[in-house]
Amino acid sequence: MTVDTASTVEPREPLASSRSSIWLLAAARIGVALMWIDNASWKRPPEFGRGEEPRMLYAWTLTGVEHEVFAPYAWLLDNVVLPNFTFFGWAVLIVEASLGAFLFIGLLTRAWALIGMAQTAVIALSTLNAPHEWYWAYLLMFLVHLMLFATAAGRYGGLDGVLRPIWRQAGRLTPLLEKAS
Amino acid sequence: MNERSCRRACLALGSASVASVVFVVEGLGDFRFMRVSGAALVIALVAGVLAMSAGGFARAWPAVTAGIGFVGAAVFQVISVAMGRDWLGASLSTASFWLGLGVGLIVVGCALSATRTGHDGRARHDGREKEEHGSS
Repeated sequence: MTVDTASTVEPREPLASSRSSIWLLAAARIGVALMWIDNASWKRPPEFGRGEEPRMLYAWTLTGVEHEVFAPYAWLLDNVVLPNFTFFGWAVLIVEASLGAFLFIGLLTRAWALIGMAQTAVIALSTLNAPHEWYWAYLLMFLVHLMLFATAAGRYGGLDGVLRPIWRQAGRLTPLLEKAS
Repeated sequence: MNERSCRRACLALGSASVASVVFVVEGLGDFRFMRVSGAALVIALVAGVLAMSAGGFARAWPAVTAGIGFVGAAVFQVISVAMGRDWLGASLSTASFWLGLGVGLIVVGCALSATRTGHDGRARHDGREKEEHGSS
């Protein structure tokens, strides 16, 4: 017996089916952005906390070695990241400040949500086994970025929603831009 | 529709900047997500009002000008922190916020300009067609 799947599948409801769900999705995206914005303040160049008494970003990176989560990653931190910390400090500041910036305005949201997931994984690999850390915090942080990616949250109350029709009209909505927003 | 969306985006981004003045209040404690004081307060208000005027009057140049101002202020703030100074009375969090507003306003300002050019072009074309049909 064959089943005609095309006729049995119910049409799906649109993701944001009401005005309130659009605003709530935008509020969640802005909340995540504010988390990154808030935490940019303690990635202070040029030392990023490196010194006789390690502080801030340097101290947190050091926990990935002292309280190892994943041996190859701890080796990478110890042999590559910590000896070249100025470069990696700037990279972290630029990535996290940009995460806050782009998620706040909802521009290229899916691409930045992916970067947010990657950055969350990197942070977790450094801090997961540090004393008093709650591992669910990192899992939740990862999952909220997954939600922003899955819902393409910037299309609702974000600039992706404003710009995609304009890009499409001008023939500029390339496949890459289509996926990134 | 596209022009209206761009105007609303300019208004929203400008309003966000003006609203960030709330972070002047030190008593916000953990909820003081960024530092805004001194020159940063002037930047937030002036560029914010400029962005709002872009939305209100459907003009692209105030949005792009405010956007460039925000991006410039963000870069200046990072340089200030890297040199151990506090020239703007802001923080790296404020720089991140300004970067978002700046990029957003530049992109939306350019889109607004493009939609208006398209709109004006269509209007001129329609007008010419009407004249031609009227005279024939």
